[in-house]
Amino acid sequence: MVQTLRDVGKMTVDDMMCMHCGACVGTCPENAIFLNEVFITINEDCNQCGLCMRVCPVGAMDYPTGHKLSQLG
Amino acid sequence: MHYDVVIVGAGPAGSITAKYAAQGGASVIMLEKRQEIGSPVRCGEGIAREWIDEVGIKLDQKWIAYEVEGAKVVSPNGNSFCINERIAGDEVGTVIERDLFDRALVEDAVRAGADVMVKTAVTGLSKDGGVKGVVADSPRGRLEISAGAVVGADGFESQVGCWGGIDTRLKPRDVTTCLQYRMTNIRPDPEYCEFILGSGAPGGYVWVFPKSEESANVGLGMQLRKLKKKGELRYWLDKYIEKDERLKGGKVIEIVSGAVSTCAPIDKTVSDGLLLVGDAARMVDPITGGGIANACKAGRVAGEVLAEAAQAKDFSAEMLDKYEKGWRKRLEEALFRNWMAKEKLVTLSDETFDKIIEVLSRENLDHLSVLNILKVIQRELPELVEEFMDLI
Repeated sequence: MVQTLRDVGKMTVDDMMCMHCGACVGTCPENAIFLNEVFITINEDCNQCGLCMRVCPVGAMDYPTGHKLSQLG
Repeated sequence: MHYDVVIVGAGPAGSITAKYAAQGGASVIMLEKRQEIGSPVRCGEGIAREWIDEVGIKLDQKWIAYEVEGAKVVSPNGNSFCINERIAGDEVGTVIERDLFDRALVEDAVRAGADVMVKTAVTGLSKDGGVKGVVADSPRGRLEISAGAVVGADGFESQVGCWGGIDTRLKPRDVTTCLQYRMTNIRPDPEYCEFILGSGAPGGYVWVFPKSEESANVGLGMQLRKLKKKGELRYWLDKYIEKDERLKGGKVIEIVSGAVSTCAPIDKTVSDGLLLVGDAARMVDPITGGGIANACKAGRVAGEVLAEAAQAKDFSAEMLDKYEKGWRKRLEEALFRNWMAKEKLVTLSDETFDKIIEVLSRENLDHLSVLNILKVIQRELPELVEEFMDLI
């Protein structure tokens, strides 16, 4: 399987699962996520609150592998 | 490049704003980050008709997918009551093809004289005291466009407000996250858009909006506060679909995801050279999650005020305050009341939903709206609405 997990700084996004719907962008309390309609980027303002992971309708966001809150297998 | 009005986002809010601003003589451009207007669709696609005329939209069979009698609200025990379009509120009656609808609205705006650019993502605002323009990435490279006023019509994922100093951030209780399948080979109720309440969708509801006699948008929205696990929404939607007999053998031909705000009206939607409209200004109805009607109504006010501002060459906060006052006069009270009602609804048990639907199914209301429903509840089950009695 093609590796589609991408570390975007403080969080991880699965580009294969991402629907580019912007749910995380509008929810982020730090306005740290940007979506150019093709892929997501997260800037330094991210404080790893995890709301983007919880709001994502398809489960494409997570903490990075190894982070204590990561739900990655 | 300079325009009187630069609109970020070419959804319904942006297009209606553009149309009325251009009609009034302002030079207008809409910037859309997608490569194609209206696509991919992020919408349940159920709308009412009674507000369509008010914002100058002509009904067109091109974007009407299916017509229904109205809405059916279903309680956890399967009881239901129906709201017929003739007497309904804003969000039921017609199931649309949202991509074609958005395209028709953009075409209207262009006909009125507005410019539009696609695949052009605004990445920031230029400021000098107030907002003076935008910076965008486009297929032709980096663009700087100066403007009298910038309009944030960039939807739920709005960033324009935050960039320009208007706080549009949401609390987890006021975010509803949604997942929808377009399903075919099913037997939806051909007469109604269905809203299914209860613990099958904690803090939200399941919807089944028919797109034909054998296909429908089947979706689910849940309050963000109730979600803990990654990808939990899919579990809830799949669970509902499994137990609905009418959806057996159905095939998913499209997945749609997204989120809506279900908050109280925000404090401020204008500042010097900047104005927010539609979902970006958090105008979504907190009960239904429907945003198109309010976006269009506010868009008309915005467009008219911007045209006036362009004539006067004055895009100050004082001038744009006419828009703030205008949309609040039309929408604010209902938004606030429905938010209060939503705050209550998300706490109710299945038994209470059953009781409410039972009461409503016995009623014969001549005008059904959230307000009238609340009035019935106030009479029959007053303990449920005591916190916001004065708004009813």
